[in-house]
Amino acid sequence: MNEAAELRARIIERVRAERSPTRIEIAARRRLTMLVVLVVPTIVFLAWGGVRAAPRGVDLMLWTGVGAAFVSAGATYVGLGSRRSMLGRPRAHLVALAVLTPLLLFAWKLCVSSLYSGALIEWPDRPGLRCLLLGAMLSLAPAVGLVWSRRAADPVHPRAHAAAIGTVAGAWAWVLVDLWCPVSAVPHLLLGHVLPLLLTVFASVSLGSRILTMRNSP
Amino acid sequence: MKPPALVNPARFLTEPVLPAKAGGGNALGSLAMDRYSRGDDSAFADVYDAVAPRLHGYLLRQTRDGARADDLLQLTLLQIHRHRGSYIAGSPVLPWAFAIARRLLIDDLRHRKTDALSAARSIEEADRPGSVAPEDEVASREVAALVEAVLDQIPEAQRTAFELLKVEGLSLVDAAQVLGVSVNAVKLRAFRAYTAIRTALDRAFRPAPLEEKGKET
Repeated sequence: MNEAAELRARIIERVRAERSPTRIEIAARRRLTMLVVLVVPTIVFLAWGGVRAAPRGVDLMLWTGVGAAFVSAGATYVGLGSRRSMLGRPRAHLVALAVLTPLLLFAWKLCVSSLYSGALIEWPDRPGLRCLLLGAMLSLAPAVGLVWSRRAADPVHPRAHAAAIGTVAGAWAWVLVDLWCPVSAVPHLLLGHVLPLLLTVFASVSLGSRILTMRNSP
Repeated sequence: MKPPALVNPARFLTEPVLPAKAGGGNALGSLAMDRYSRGDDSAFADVYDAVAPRLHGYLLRQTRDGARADDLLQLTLLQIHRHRGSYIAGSPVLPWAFAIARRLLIDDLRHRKTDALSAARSIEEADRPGSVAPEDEVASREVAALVEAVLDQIPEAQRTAFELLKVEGLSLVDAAQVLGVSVNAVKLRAFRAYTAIRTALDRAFRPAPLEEKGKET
């Protein structure tokens, strides 16, 4: 047997000695992950009070909420979509996603609210701390769940990948916070809505860059 | 230095440095990987045959160490095996395998605290065309050495793009996926590498100045 054939036989033998999950098993695990990703924020949101239209009005709530959902869906498609590739999107696209998504969400919220008289007034007793806490709690489980489900799987750009995951989790958390919070004042939005999204991205990069990186383990 | 008669240095800019490796088309690899991911363990041999020859060549050129190349190949295929369940049906296997191999190689280099990329490549005798006259072989070796020297000096991003396209023979799309950048970024990096190499080759093979020709008459 020549060297190449010996190497082939050795590697095939080594691979056979180690069990690995098949697609069906991974799909089942992912369904469980998605359950956690969807159920935990829902429970937190409902426990926090759920949807609150007043005093802003149902139409303002729907316009900002639907628009934010649209942006979040787009972020999900760009950030988590596979494009039939095991290596995902280019790094620059994922970084652009992390930068543009909070800007788009903020701009949409501001633009729509500006069409309603009085919507942008400040609420002195609502600086945004509760929204900050709610946003962080809503995005935590999805970010951790998505990062964990892709552990050790990224050989190319784990940090950018983690940033994309954090952006998507933070964006959907924005949608829920927006359905609960009636305030559209700029300082409140920056502290209570934008900051938790940015913190989620940052936390996701810190955590995910270690967990997502494919490592050299025999 | 006059250009050798039968070797055109510009060839290196338009043709792959090494001949295309046989076997392992993306389509075959994808079909085999799809079967493997569904649980058909016998398909791993087909996955191996589809990607291992090219991967091994790449790792050998990067490490210049047969034993290390073998180990890294094994680790790469183990990673493919461990992540078979998350394989996306129809996605190309070769760029994925190359990306894994590159990641493991970088990690290995870090552990060893050496820069194998700067000491790696030389065109192997086995990959040369069979019937080349000795003087052409010397000239080819000189050109190859010059190309190697230039590659050692240019930024790593440009060098890697050039190697993946011209040495490993990956397509632009596949190389972009391996590097995690856009196709345009790969084109730009490779173009800069080509420009550096062409400048060096032009300088090395510049025609003799006119006053020397005048002296002969």
